[in-house]
Amino acid sequence: MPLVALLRHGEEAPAPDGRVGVESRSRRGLSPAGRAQAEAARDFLASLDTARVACSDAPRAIETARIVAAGRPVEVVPALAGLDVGDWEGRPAAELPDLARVLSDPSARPPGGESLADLEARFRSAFLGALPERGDAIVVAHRMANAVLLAGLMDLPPRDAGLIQQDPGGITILARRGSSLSVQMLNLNPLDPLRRRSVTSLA
Amino acid sequence: MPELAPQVERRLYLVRHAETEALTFDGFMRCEDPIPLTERGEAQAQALAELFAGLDATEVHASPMDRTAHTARVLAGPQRTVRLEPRLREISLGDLDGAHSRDIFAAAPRWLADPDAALPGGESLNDTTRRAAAALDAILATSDERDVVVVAHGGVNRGLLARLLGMPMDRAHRIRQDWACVNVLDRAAGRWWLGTLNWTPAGLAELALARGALIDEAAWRRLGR
Repeated sequence: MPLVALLRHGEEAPAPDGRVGVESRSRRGLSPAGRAQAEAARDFLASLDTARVACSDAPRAIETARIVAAGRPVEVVPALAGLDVGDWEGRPAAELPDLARVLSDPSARPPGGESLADLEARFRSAFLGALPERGDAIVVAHRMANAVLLAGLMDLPPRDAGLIQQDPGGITILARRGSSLSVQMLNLNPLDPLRRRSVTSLA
Repeated sequence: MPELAPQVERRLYLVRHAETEALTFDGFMRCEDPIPLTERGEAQAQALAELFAGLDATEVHASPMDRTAHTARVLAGPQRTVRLEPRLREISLGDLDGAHSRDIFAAAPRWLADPDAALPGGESLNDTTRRAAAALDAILATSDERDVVVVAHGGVNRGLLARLLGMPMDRAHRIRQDWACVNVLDRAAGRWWLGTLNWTPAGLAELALARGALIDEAAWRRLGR
């Protein structure tokens, strides 16, 4: 039975100007900690019979995927992108009173962006399309995208998707039979298995 | 409206006991003691002790059955107190304890898949989950530590995970729980958040070995349901 490793990208490098905002379309790569997370994921996944490595077109996902791929080719799939927050891109979360609602009400949509329901439909189709016909796969994507897919696989209501944590570099293992997927392990963090340094959050 | 990054009030480390000889799905199923850990199980428990060594918790709560109490004692090490809680015992197979799985599922074809189905003289998943959840509530109410470590069983953990996370109980039996696995749940903003499911010190090695026997729809159909 083939396995699929669904990862969240590693920790992103901070913005050069120090600004912290809501970003889905950032073009920055990984921080040193992010690279260490990707290297730990590569080692953890070394026993897979990996036939394909796919990732979104965000530089932090591509860099994570290149490290995890350990020399294999990496396929960039733009539809694996994270939640599109539209006009909110780059703004501090404190200025966005409706952000928490968008992350917990599947029908709420940020101006010019996507709802969780939109994200689930788009990401699920891109994810299934990225899987190889045979062999194991590694897919590197994003926090809420992974969470809405996993909520569906675990029969959790879409509004609760944000309760499923995806730490930077976190590894989720799915078993696959045809188009049916089942969660085997979720959000493993090889550098911090007890999540002592991880932040539990909705976003 | 949930907060974006709520304060974590409690952290639950829900652990399954390490490997034992019994409890196989392919052959005879036995839940009641005596069921010791295997040699590999002892090594798994030791790996848990190393994993938890730096954690502040001064107590480890466990089901009083051999396999959980022993796993908890090894995990706890000399510096922590092990507290045994009878309501964390594994789901009871009743009169059929020790029978072949064929006969168990012949007696109750929908056992586990139907959370209300019980074996003769035994328990349903819902019975088990209700008492285990009451035990967990009592542990959380009496302990004043943020981090709570509970060592229990495959069936108990599946029921608790489904209940705490709000999954339908009729899919609880499909949650994967490997030997000596650790689940991490956070209590924050009045909800349970899923941090990690089924981490094991063995990493992917166990999963890769078990490729043919992963818990999924097809595997459960092979068992006749």
